[in-house]
Amino acid sequence: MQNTITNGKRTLIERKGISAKTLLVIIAAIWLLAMILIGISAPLIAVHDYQQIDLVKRLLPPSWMAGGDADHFFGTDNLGRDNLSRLFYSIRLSLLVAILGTVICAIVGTTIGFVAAHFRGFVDDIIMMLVDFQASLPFMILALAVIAFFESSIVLFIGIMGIYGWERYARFARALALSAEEQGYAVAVRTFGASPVRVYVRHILPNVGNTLLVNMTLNFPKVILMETSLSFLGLGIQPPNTSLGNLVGFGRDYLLTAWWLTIIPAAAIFLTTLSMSILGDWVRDKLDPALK
Amino acid sequence: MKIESKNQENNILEVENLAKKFVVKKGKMPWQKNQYVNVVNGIDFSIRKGEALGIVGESGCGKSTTAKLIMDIHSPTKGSIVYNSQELNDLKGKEKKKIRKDIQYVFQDPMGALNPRIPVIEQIYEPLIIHYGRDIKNYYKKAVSLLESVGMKESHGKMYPHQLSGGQRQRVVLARAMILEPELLICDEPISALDVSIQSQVVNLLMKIRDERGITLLFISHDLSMVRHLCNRTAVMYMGHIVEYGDNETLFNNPLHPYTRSLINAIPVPDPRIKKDDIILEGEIPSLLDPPSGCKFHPRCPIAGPECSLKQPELKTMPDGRKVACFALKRGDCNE
Repeated sequence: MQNTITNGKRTLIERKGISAKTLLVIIAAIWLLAMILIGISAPLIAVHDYQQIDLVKRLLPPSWMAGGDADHFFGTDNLGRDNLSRLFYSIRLSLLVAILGTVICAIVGTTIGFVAAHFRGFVDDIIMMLVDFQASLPFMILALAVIAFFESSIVLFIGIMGIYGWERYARFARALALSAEEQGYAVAVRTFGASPVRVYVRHILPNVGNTLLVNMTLNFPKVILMETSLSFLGLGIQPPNTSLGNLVGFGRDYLLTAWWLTIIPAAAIFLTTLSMSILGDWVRDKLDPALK
Repeated sequence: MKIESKNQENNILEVENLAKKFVVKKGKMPWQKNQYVNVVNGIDFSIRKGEALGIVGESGCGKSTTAKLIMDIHSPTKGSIVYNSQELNDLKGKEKKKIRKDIQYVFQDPMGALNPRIPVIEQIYEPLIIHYGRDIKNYYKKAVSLLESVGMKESHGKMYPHQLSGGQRQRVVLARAMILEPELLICDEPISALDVSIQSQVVNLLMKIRDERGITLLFISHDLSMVRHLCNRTAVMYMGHIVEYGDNETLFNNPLHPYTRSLINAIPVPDPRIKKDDIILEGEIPSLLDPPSGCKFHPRCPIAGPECSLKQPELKTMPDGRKVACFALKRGDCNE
């Protein structure tokens, strides 16, 4: 510290006494917060209607490039729709799908894991068999089969995202519950005559929630990537609705002539998943009692 | 049930031929047998209303398992547990919940027995919510008065278990066990996890509770002097069997079974001039996986005879009312 004072030049990191890692976490949190705010306020901040076609202004480059239109900051796509507005709406839908998918998955997977831990024996064997089955099957193929079979809709799509990674939650929840059940507090509440729901929800869940929460932060980027992959393949979100995967998928045909159609949404995906991973790491460190 | 038929009306709990075996190793192939370990080996005892019964023995002798069998934490392999003339193993659903309310359990490790993420006051009145539904305001008052009766303050209630000392935690566990106003309190080594300075606090509290509320106690411990201090009667267990069982006065002043004698002999006496000439226990408890034949104690017993390795001795009632399981009694070796 003394050294930096005598030098008279101090960076932000030294002034605030924060490490580079913390700074990264702060940036990641700000980015995610911005994404969420954009998602919530997309109808307010989008200048243009994201479905408005204007064939005269097709494939305009971003406004800072030669030939750009000040009215369309990120340019327009092959149908002359405003890229910035489409990006906002895509973030809105992608985040919605990812958040709902992650939450549904956490609830479903944890419940299944607790059920396996509670009943043991035959039920446990069946559930663990299903877990192994799911873990050995590429999820993409399962999702493609389901979407090809039923008509694709946003509800179905969220439902599919809601079972993506359930087997990991189930495994975690089962293992954690099995060890927590042997703890005195769980045995104690049971001797008072508490119902299994009370034992699991009020007593075991808060004590094992850390691990599940960390798993959620790890699962969230995966859900986003799965959603974009399916949309990229044309089986996810259907036009006129738009998601980040859609944008990348449709921009692919113009990659050489109009790179901004692909690169900008791809950067949004990349930065969002990266931020979530950084934040997840931080949460894991914070909640790990061994690192305190 | 057949034991002490005179006192049958006074018996709050009667345990008969209770046994528990655990699977240690499952057979890998369907035709391979599971390997079992007999932790409790057909024990009988009863507790009279209002008395305090102690169960003592070395680690691994099955005393905690006995308590857990009574508490329905484990289910017995065979045998019956009769509480107020109702067979506990037959009860189901609501009836079971109702009876369970009257038997409460104090855990060995108070830190583990409390949920680390819930303030202790909420944990104290939680049994009331489980049994009578939500009425938090009244429950809170009741929990506070109980907390005060175990010598703690209302302000302690808001704390989490890790903010309390070991003795305070055990007092919280006691308060929680008392809130349903049980008739029978089973204490499973309630003091062994505590500092010596705090042990007496908790034992005095137990005595206070017993005297004030007329609660029946089953006190499990390996500390003989505490059992002598607190209980009216004592059962001595060795490798899943009760070897001696009787009133404290007769049992501690004139122990008959060689194992009891060696245990009592091991209590430190603060006078070096007192000469100890009785049995001193040698060796370790044999493995439960491969128990000795006949009397389980015979490999360590200084007075073992030839028959001891052949047959398991039965608990026999002595003229002074206690029960002893030892062949040497017949030979007269024990009364030296």
